[in-house]
Order: sequence, then C-alpha cells, then structure tokens
Amino acid sequence: MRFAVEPSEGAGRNGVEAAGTPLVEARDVVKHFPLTQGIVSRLQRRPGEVLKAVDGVSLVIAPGETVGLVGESGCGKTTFGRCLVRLYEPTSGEIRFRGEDVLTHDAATTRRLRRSIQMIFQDPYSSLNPRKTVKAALGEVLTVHRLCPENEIPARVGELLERVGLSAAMGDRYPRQFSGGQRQRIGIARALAVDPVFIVADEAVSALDVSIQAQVINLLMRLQEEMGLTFLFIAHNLGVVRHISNRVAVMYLGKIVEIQPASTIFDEPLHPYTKALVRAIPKLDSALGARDTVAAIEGDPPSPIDIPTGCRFHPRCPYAMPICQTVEPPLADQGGGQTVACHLYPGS
Amino acid sequence: MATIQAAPAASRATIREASRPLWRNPSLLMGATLLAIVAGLAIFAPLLTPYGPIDQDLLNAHKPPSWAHPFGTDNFGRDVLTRVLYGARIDLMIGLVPTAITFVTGVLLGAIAGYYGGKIDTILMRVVDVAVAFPFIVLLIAIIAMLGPGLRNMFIAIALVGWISYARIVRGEVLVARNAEYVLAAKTLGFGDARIIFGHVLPNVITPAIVFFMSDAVLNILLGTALSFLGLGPQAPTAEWGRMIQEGRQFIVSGEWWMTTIPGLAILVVGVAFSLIGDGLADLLRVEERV
Repeated sequence: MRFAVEPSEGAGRNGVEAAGTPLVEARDVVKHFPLTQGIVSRLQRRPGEVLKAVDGVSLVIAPGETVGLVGESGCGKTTFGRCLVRLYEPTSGEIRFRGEDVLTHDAATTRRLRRSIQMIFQDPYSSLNPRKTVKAALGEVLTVHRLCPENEIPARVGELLERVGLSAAMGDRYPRQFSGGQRQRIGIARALAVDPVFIVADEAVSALDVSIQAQVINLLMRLQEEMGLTFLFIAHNLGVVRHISNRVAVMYLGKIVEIQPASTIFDEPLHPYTKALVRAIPKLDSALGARDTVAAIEGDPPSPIDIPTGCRFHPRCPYAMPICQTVEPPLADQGGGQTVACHLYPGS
Repeated sequence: MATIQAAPAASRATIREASRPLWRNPSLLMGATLLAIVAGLAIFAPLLTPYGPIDQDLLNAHKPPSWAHPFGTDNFGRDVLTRVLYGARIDLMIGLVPTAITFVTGVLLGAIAGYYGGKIDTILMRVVDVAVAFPFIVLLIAIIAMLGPGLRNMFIAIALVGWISYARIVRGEVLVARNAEYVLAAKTLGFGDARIIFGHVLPNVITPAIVFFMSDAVLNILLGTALSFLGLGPQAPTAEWGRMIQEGRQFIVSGEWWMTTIPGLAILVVGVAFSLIGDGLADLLRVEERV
C-alpha cells in the first residue's frame, strides 16, 4: 500500500485538538518585498519602499487538521502559503514542520521537506506544463524523487489518476485536452505523487465553476480521510472554507485578525472584519427585514506599502475607537478556541 | 468517484491538429523544398559541372552565357555556374553555422538571465545594451579588423555579436514563464534548476527564438555576403557569392551583367527559402501551442 499513512501519523488524525506536537508551526512570519526604486530616488539615498505582504503571521496547524485561511485579495494569504512551501524566503520569522526548521539551507533536508509539503495551485490553466502529457508530468515527479522503479511508473501514474477520479487511459493526453476541473484533479494528483503530509491549497477551487468546486472539495476531503492529509486551505470565499475547514483564520493586510473553529465563526464572528465577511456570504433565506446590523465594509483595503498605524483595520472599521488609531491589538484568546485581535475584546 | 470523460473540446483540438499536416503548410513545404534543392546542388556540385570553381581559362574570359557556360564566365574565364554551385556550400554555412552558435548561446544566456534575475540579469543585460548601442555592422567590421579577414573570423565576429537578439527574446519570455504556476509547481516538487529551465521553461518559450532563427539565417547570409563584398570574408579565389558580386561589380558598366546578377539571384533564392521556412514554422508552432 503506497498510500498507507505513515505509522507516526496514525493517531488522533481526525481530531482538531492541537494536543501533542503540532505538524506545522509558523511564528511571526514576515515577507516584505522591496520595491524597485527609480534611479533618481536611489541617487538621493531615499529609503526604499517596502510592500509588507505578510507582516507577522503565526499559525499552528495540528496533524490531520484543515485550516481555512481567508481574506481579501492582496491581504497576503497566498504569499504566506508560498512561504510555507518555500517558494518565497520569508524576510524573518520561523516555520517548523514536525519541529524541524523548514527554512534550513541544507539541501538534503529541503529536498526531504519538499516531499512532505506540497501545494495545489489556483489556476488550473497555468498550473500544468502545456508541453507535457499527464503521464510525462506525473512520471517526472516519480523519477526525480526516485519514488518507484522505472518500470512501475506507468502503473503508479495510473493509480494516481484513478485516485483523483480520472482514468489511467487519460495519461497520454496533454493538459489542453482537459476541462478546468479535470486539470485541477491532475494538479492534485501531481501533489499527491510525492506522498505529502501537508498540502497548501492556494485558492484551489476559486477558478472553477460552482458545481465543479463542490466536486473538487469533496475529492480533497476524501483524500484527507484516506491519506491522513493536513490542509491549509486558502480562499477568499468564506462559504467554500466553511465546508472543509476545522478552523478558520481570517487575514487582513498581512496579519491574522481572528482564528476560530469553523463550527463557531459563522455564527459568532468576533472581529468587525470577520463580521463583514460573514455577512457577505450570500444567503438564500435572508429576508429584507432580517438584515444584519453590521455595516458592510466600506472602501478598499489600505495599501500594504503604507499600513495604517494602530489596528490596521481602523480606517474601515465601524467600531473604531481612539485607541485603535495608535495601539495595534495583539491576538488574544477569548476561550473556546476563539482568538481575536481587536480592542473591543478583553486581553487586547 | 466515477471516471470522468474528457471534454468534447479535447477531441476537437486533436482533429484540428491532425487536419493540418505538413503538406497543408505551403510556406514550410516550399521553403524546405527550395532549401533542399540548393543544398543538393551544393553537395553534388562536382557531378553537375565539368569545371572546377577556381579553374582559370583566360582565353574564355568575359564570355556571355552560352551552351558551354550557361551563366557565362568571369574575368578569369571561370565558369559562373560552377562558382555559384560551389559558393552555395560556403553561403549555406554562413547562413547556418553562426546562426546556430548564436541561437544556442543567446537562448542559454537569455534563459539564465531571465530565470535567475538579480545580478546575473543586470550584468548580462547591460552588456546587451552596450552591444546594441553600436551599429551592428560597424561592430562586426571592427572585430574582423582585429582578428583579420577570413571565413572563420567572420563566424567568430557574428557569434560574438549575434547572440544578443536571442538573449533578449528568450529573457523576455522567461520573465513571464518563470512565474507561471507550472514553474512554481516544479519548484515545490523539488525539481532542480536545470530540469526546470530545460524541461519546463524553455520548451514553452523557445518558439519565437526558433522562428527568429530562420530570419536570422537570412540576415546572416546577407551580412556574410556584405562582409565578403567588403573583402572581410573568405579570400580570393574562393567561390563565395558576396565575393563574386564584388569581383564582377567593375564589369557591370561594360554590360557583363552575369557576373553579378547570378550570384545575386542565388542569395535571393536562399533568402526566400529561409523566410518561407520561418513563416511556415511560425504557423505550425502556433497551432501546436493552442492550449
């Protein structure tokens, strides 16, 4: 059984409880992108502008858990996900996987961790190399990591395709011969080829039709059950996250503002930003009179180059108080697994 | 979960490709045929003509076209047809050898600059800027002046300067492709840089460079003939088209048109052949690329 869960992974897989060692631990991860300066400002020795995509994110993920990471476009959630799979080198901070430093410069360790941590990409149309057949693309992964003998590769590729709901006979086709949903399944099969433990799904269903979204989400949930996977599920749509996640983290302008179990966050959003997001989920039964009293968020998010002082949400927050303009609220535990960074709640 | 059938769009794409085999691509077919004929004539030149390319026959100098000399003879009595046939060997080489060298080096350097970015990219592109700032042909003449005239030095000069266009084309494409999700996926899968560049990036960005190769071959033939017209290419008495035009130039006024016109037409034919192949390839590869 190639797909068998490693023994060390077996216990407590379905639990949300973070008891025991966490699988993934991110501490104060910061990713700043220096912006290219014009020659004039460089000659004037002006300090360079910096885009603060991720500005101190800490997140602990337990084995077998699915954490949803939501936020507007440009809030840094994709950047954070790419730091976890090491597509980006964080400016500072620490990322540990089973207690091991992910940001190591040891080539052998990096290679081993690459096998454990995989990513599913957003755009099924650009995430597959158009010049390679499905068989060649999946086979290449197996060859590079020497995961199985050369003569067993076709069988293993077929197995992977069937695992994601495609047929082994489709291996001879090129990506252009598949639909968006099928391509996303191929992308999933490619990530599974290395037998990963932790998968960052970066907007994995955002580009798909709603009916296909449900299929792919069900596939991911089934794979999680069968293979004992742990997911970080990045999305800008809370509704999608609700179905798949154990916990939901809400990100705003490079920081996590709230973390809650998925079972409570939709009924009891704490942070004003989360409230607005939850309110934005389309409902079939919302009668005209039954409108929430929370005002919709107004305006665009501030620029991540010039982040507001204090709480970064205060310019758009309907509850903003004087303190919000000067003091940045830390994430504070509210009990019941609820954590929020807002001056409206005690501890901040 | 049940197996999902491929979308109908898939089969349509296959049909479209299958319905466009080589013979439906007239430019490519004509160009390739023309080039094959020229190459064949060049290779079998000794069988096609009783004369040698440098055999002088001063008694028969300056003869207009006749049965014995279909394209006439030059001022040394050498058969123009024979010299054009043998000249094709050198001129096809001028079209292909330096172009191939510049293609390989340019594509490699462009890919490396585009993929790694940073300092490597900056340095390489500044070199390109400097080289581009000089008039191309003046730069070539300067290099050949340093190395001395001759076919080999002409190749070296073109190789030193010609890679720039390829590097620019490929770098631009790689800058886009390196952020494509399939490249990011290859990175997260732990593939090595060489595997990513050669297996994933280059196959997707090489098309414009291949198409440019064909027009560049034409340019290099024109350049090569121009340089040997100026006396910087293969030296007398080698049969080469540019040199033949240069030697026949002084006799145009006396009405001896064949010494210049025939090698000129030969250049034209080869130029058209390469251009047609370039057009045809652009067409063919575009069809294949339809994703």
